[in-house]
Amino acid sequence: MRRFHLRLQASLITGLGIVSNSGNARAVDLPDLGGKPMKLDVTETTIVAQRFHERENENPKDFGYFAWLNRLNLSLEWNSFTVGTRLDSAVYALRPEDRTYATKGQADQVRIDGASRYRDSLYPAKLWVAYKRDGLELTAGDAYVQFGRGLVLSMRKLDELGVDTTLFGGKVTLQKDPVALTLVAGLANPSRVDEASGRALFLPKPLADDPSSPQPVFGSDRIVGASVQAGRGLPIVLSTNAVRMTRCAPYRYDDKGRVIDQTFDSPIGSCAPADTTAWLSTLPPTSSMISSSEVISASQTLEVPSFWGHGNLFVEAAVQHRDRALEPNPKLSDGNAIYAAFSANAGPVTNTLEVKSYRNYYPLIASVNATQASAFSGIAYSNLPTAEVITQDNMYGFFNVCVSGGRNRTDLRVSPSLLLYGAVGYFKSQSEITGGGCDRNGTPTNKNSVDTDTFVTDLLGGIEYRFDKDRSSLFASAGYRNDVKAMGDIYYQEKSAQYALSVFISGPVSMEFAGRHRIRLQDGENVIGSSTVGKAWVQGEHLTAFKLAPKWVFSQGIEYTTQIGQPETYFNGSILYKFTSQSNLRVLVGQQRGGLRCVSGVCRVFPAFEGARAELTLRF
Amino acid sequence: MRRLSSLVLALSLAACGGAQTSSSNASAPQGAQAANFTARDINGKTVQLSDYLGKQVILLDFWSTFCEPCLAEFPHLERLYQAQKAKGFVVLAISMDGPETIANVPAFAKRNNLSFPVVLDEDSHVASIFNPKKSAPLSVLIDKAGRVVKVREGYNPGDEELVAKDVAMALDAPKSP
Repeated sequence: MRRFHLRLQASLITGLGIVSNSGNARAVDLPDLGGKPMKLDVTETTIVAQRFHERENENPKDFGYFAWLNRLNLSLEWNSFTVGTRLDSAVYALRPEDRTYATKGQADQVRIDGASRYRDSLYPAKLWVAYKRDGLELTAGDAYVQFGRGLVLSMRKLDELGVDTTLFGGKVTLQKDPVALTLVAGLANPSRVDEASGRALFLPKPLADDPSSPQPVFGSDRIVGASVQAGRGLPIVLSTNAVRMTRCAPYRYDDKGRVIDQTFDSPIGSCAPADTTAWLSTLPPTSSMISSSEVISASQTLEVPSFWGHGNLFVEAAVQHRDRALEPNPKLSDGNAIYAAFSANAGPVTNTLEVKSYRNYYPLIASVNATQASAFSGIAYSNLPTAEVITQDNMYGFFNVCVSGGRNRTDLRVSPSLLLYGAVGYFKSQSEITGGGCDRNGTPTNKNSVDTDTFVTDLLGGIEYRFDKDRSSLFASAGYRNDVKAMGDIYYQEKSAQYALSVFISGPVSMEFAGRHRIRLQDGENVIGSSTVGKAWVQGEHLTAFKLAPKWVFSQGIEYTTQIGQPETYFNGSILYKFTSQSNLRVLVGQQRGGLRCVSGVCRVFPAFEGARAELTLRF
Repeated sequence: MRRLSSLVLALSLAACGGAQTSSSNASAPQGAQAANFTARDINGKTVQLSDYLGKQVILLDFWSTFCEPCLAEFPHLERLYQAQKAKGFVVLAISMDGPETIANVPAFAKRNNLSFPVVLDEDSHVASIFNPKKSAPLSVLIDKAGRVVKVREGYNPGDEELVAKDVAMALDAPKSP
């Protein structure tokens, strides 16, 4: 994709202006071709944001700049064929490197940081051709893919985190019940520009005073996989999945360690051992996974979709083998995992139990230089279910690499309008604290595992209540998480409450009050003076929204934290205007707290925001 | 580069023109049917859009277990489905839950008494066709001729009446070729 990284020109502005004048709410029917109708679907998202100045203790390199990002999704359907693309572009102004600095040192620091940041670009982020007919599906180009519950392969979109990873290559699916076969092969293709931070995965700009620059920040990760499923539509479904990931260099290197950046020179990277070694040596060795040039994973699933309408069972067992060039001991280069979920229901009660036991089993972490492009360090091509709540952001380190435990949630339907629920989770992690870990048998790699083992108890209770003919609702819950070391010392503790109260007033008018508030305590965090003991802090957010269906939503938010070194309060206001049922404009002005955000077991750190942001979404 | 920018411009122009054409003939839209997809429902059965396409009015509802507006909308969708299913209306609730939360989907459907098919889209395959931005909730209304007639993003109290009107109009519209 780097070959398509092009400077944006003014003509795109004209194009966008024309798009934004359209307000119709339907796919575009084009003239028939060969007697068959043709249809074009367009989803256009454009984001314009101006960051204001940083506040005390905030990083000035994250502020003050202007950004215009655009994503144009086009999908053309004809007969059994679909051709699609997503064109992404980014334009920046008032960047930190465009400013003047008091010292050369400050200016150099900003220039180095800016080498992989705030890059003007226009490139086809996704491109695909698909053919579907009678149980056969062929895709050339970008495709999402997942095998089983994602232990061996999961390439999908996590919009909340700005992650959108596809496999660029070929995908074949043959499906005729009770059998299905999926074959995939290609290059991992994550989105290259991170809206929240302005960071980009393109080849950084060269630095005049560094002869080895530019060094790439993202590799050429190749994936080949197969999945066979048997028993579809029958009481028991089995599937066998296997994936091989190979890390290759994104470029060839010359004898001085510089990349050869020429359009037709190794356009998809190089797997030559010397190039791969040179590339992998630039990646921070955060884990044995990122240093492994080849990883093979395989899994077997068993599924009982329905126990006579009263429940279902899913079990997946996986093994992983990382290449032994770095770690010849197979106990340390191999891992395994088992995950199971069982749901049951009887009358007003539903119950879901999830259990997991992972031993030295890593997600397929993308080849990203986490030092230079930390915004992308959460990208992975597999996704181990955590059995935690989706927003859980307190699993530190490599929590899920060596972990055993489970979570049970029980729901009681008291009446059509009232539901009560409770959940209990308990986990032991050997890899949450730096220095911890385990081998494929679960034996700790650290002789003093008493210092690195953690034990987590997680409790949650909640209510869902609807009233006013289901037009008003209250969803509320309270939680407690206690993460302690073997000797009982607190590693992390949290008490939390969250709510979403939606009140119908009359006609199109309603109000919503939503928030999450937490008391947090973490070992070594929020320390005062020379103390090494962390102090509890409070943080949270509340949103009040006034809604006029179906066109308008006005909201005002407040966020706060008492964590030392951060601004205490953040205020913001936003307006959402839906000019058609599917197209809208959202404007936000104010401040938003930065920090770790987790969705689906994937976490990333977002920088704080202070400024104005407008997002226009058009579909037709 | 210039060629690429021109392509963007040309497609944008084509999109505008086409949109105006289709709006001028709202009661009998012409054109291609919605793209087919194959997925599994929470009972392990294979669901194909083509099983319903061209026969029933279909509401594809994209949702996830952790989306509160989706949860708020479901009782209204269930009531609408019960009221209109005899006339040829079906809701296909497309769960966009991934590996992290997909285990909760069957119990979610059960405790919320969802009687329409709940389809799993773990790999975003269906969303990539109809909802590339992965908005939730997002509903796609398909008429009896198999054509997308309405897309609606988000849910606020009061929207359920608009959805019901859209569905009634689609059910009443003649099935044109």
